[in-house]
Amino acid sequence: MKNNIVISLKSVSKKYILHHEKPTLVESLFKTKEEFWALKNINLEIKKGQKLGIIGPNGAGKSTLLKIITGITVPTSGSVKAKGRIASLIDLEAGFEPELTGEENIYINGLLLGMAKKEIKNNFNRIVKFAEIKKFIDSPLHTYSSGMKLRLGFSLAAFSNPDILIIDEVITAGDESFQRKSYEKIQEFCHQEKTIIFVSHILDILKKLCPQTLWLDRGKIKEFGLSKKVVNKYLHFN
Amino acid sequence: MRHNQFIDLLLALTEKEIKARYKHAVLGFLWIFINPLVQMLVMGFVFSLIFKFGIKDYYLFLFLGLLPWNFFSLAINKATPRIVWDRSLIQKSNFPRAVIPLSMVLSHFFHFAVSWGMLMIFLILMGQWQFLTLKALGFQLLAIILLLIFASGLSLITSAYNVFYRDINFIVQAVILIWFYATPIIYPFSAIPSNYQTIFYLNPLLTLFSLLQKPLVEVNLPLSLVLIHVLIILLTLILGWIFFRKKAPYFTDWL
Repeated sequence: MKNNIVISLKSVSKKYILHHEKPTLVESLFKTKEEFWALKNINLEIKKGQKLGIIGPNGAGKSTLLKIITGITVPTSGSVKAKGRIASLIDLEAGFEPELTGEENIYINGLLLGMAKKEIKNNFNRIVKFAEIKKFIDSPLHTYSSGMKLRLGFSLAAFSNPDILIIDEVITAGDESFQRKSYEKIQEFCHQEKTIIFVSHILDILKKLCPQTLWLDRGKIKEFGLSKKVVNKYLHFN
Repeated sequence: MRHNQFIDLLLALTEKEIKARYKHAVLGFLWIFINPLVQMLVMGFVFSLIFKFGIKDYYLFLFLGLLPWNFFSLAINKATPRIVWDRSLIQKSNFPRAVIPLSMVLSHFFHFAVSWGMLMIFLILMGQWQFLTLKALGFQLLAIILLLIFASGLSLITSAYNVFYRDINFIVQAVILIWFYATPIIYPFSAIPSNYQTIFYLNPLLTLFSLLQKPLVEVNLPLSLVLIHVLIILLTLILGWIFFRKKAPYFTDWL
């Protein structure tokens, strides 16, 4: 991997076996398996500081691609390399424990995101302030509204000091003032040397944030290039 | 870095597990002490009336066996389905997955350690000094550490397998139940007819429990057997670790 390349995928394919119900031991011995290729032969290199947009219809393999980049799942064939800490703003509420307080959740989720204990401590006040949950920090998470949980999730990821940031439709999370705040935060990341992968159906924002866009369709790269061009083609295609 | 995250997460999740259990109980952390106390009272009164096996201080014999057994069985039973339950954690990031079953084992080990400490205080109050000699304490420590290793190794295997085959959870529950009666815990090894004793040699827990019960009942196991049992236990952890590492990348595909 060259020095300035932080993510590199070489002929990555991902096969899923469809389970219509939870597999049981007996079933797995006798039933034939239904296969499904979510990604086929993807080659991709992302440079440090690059801002890449990803578009494509539902079921195109966007989520699978992100999961492979974050290392949450592994490809069936091909190789993946990613350098640096990755934070994903995809499933913001994942990892929260309803019985624990906001503070305890910040601590555990910070560790899950790869932060060191000290880092969490140092950033604790900023996380709480940004999420606007200071009053409720000692309350169990199941008393939080969904908006509060989303804000906390966003705030945690944002302050985990990632090298690579993966953003989904989170800008639409929370109320208007928080949307503005999170958008500003993302723009701040854009001005820094952070690598950003932005998956969205909101093509205007995507064009604004990312110079380049990748168009996925049925597990394959359909187009890759300047956002303006790719987005235009995508719009005409549909 | 990776190593640090592993330890930090392991401890944080263990703490979370311990805290979460008593979170909304009025008596809170007092339950950590009340639970084993009630357990021991029940064991002492009920079991002692039914069984005796000609052991003096039979209730002490029971405490020595049942407290560690409870840890062992609870740890494995709770750790086995845990990865499936914690799927939301796994979807969050690429952290070392082994912290999930191991934190379950450790949190139960914490409760066991508390109850063991209470048992020791009880033994002092009763003036049962034969349990508190350097030799007896050394055997206890050895047995307890090996039990922790064994429970960890088995939990790594069962919890990983349970992601792919959910039947494992039920199989584990059944096996643990059988294992309880197949291990000299509520009866001494000498109660087994001598022509069956060799079958019991297959059970690595035999060594551990006879180490714990030594001050009360002497079991003379061949040294080679003891060493083989220890080896099996250590191998379980090593193989369990390797197996888990191999399977962990595929967990998300099955959750």
